[in-house]
Amino acid sequence: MEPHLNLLLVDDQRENLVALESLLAFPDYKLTSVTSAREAMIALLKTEFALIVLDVEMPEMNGIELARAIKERQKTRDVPIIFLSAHHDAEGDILSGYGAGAVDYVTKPLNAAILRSKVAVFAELYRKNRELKVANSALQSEIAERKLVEAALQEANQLKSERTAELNEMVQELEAFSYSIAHDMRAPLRAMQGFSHILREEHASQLDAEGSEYLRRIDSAATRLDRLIQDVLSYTKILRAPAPMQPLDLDHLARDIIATYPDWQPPRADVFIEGTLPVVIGNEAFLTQCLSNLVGNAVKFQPKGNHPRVRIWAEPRDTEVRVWVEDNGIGIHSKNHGRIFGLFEQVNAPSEYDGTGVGLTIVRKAVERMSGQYGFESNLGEGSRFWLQLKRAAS
Amino acid sequence: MTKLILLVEDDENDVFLLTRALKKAGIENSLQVADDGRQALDYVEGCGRFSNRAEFPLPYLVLLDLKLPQVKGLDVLKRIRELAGRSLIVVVLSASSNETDIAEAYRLGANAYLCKPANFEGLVEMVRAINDFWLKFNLSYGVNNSPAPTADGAL
Repeated sequence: MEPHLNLLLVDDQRENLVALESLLAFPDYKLTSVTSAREAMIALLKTEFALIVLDVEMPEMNGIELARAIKERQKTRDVPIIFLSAHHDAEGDILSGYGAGAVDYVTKPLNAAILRSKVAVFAELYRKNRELKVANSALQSEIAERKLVEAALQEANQLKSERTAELNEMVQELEAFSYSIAHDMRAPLRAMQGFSHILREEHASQLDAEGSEYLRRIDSAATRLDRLIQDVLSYTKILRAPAPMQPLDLDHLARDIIATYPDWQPPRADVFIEGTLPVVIGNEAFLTQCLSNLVGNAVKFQPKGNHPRVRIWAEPRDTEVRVWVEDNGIGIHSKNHGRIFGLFEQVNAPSEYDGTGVGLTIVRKAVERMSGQYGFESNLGEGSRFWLQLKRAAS
Repeated sequence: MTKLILLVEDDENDVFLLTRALKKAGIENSLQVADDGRQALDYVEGCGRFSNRAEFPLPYLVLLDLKLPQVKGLDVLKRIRELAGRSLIVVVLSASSNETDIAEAYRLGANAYLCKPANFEGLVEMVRAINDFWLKFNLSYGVNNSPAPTADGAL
């Protein structure tokens, strides 16, 4: 419910006040009646009034003087006044000095209907003003809130652009780093490999068996370092290369990859695809890298003398497909399950199984960048089943 | 006279190994070496210590490393194309398969882009391929054009 409107009635005659009170006895008006200018000023200090009904003719300070005092005070300046005047013509000029709207008058003897309607006009004006004030303050706080949000947003944007600049710098450094690895670090390696080759080819007669063995070790260490460098380069490429996604015929892709590796063909190994693999959404370069790394591992990590058998198949899962690569290899001890996708992690000694510890990291990163999932099931001595899961293309 | 090869390479080990690989592959073309980009341009322009064309004739084939002191490999390539147009065969020999380098090399008019093999056997195989394709079978045009290939290999 709306709050009351405070009306101040000022008249030195008690009976006039009683008459006014009965005229304006409406539930939404709260009337305060005083009999002197002094009391009126006190009332105005205590309460905010919507309207003052003021008798002009009073002893001590008359209505006109009181009105002047009211209008001089900042707090009460805008409170409208209805004068009750006996002499219509005489007061007209004085009243006009207050400006339109703020002041009105009603002549005595009072006409009830006129007084009520004039009071009602001012009351309505006050109500509207009050609503406007509420709306205005709501608007103000909304503006303040928006300004806060805007400032926060600006700060976030600032932070974002700083972060982006930082990231760009990092990417550029990574780029420069891998470029330098490719160029500068491989040059001494070429020399090591080249000169050890020439030494072996042309100076073999001057070397005994031990010397030849040392030479072989230099050569194999250099080869290994070169593999490591190449794998790290492949990894950084996976990290930063753009990866446009498109529908890929997995069956076609997998069979092509398998056909490229002589080590994966009978009689050295059996790599076979069960059924037809579906069309998936992926990046061709990334998926090629994943599949060749997984099948490569499956063929490589075998007990001595074991014939590698690798089975590849697809398992539909809602809108996705899980591609399995299963081998009959050495398997992975459960204590090592948490390590195998980490960079440079090698469960087996490199002397036992040639590797760099980068292959599965590349698989992980590539699958992540294709918004897919990956995983495996394995036990020591029981072979391994690796999988990766991607979106199927709409058929 | 055999077709002259100009090798632009700053790494003396690489120069040594490539020379060895050419010998091993039985490629007996004469070889000149420029060990930085500035030297390479001086050679092609015939200025500085290469001003005597009788001693330093224009090459038929340039083997160009990309990472060079003084003037970068790609800038050498660009200048060669400005000076000699397409008549000179330029095969880029880089240590990396960096895609930006590859794209830029072809944009500037490289005839081929080869990645330096890590081991010596690979290097021998590569120079054999260069010899077979660029020196034996491929037909070039311009000032250095030579007679059609004969059956006996290196020209």
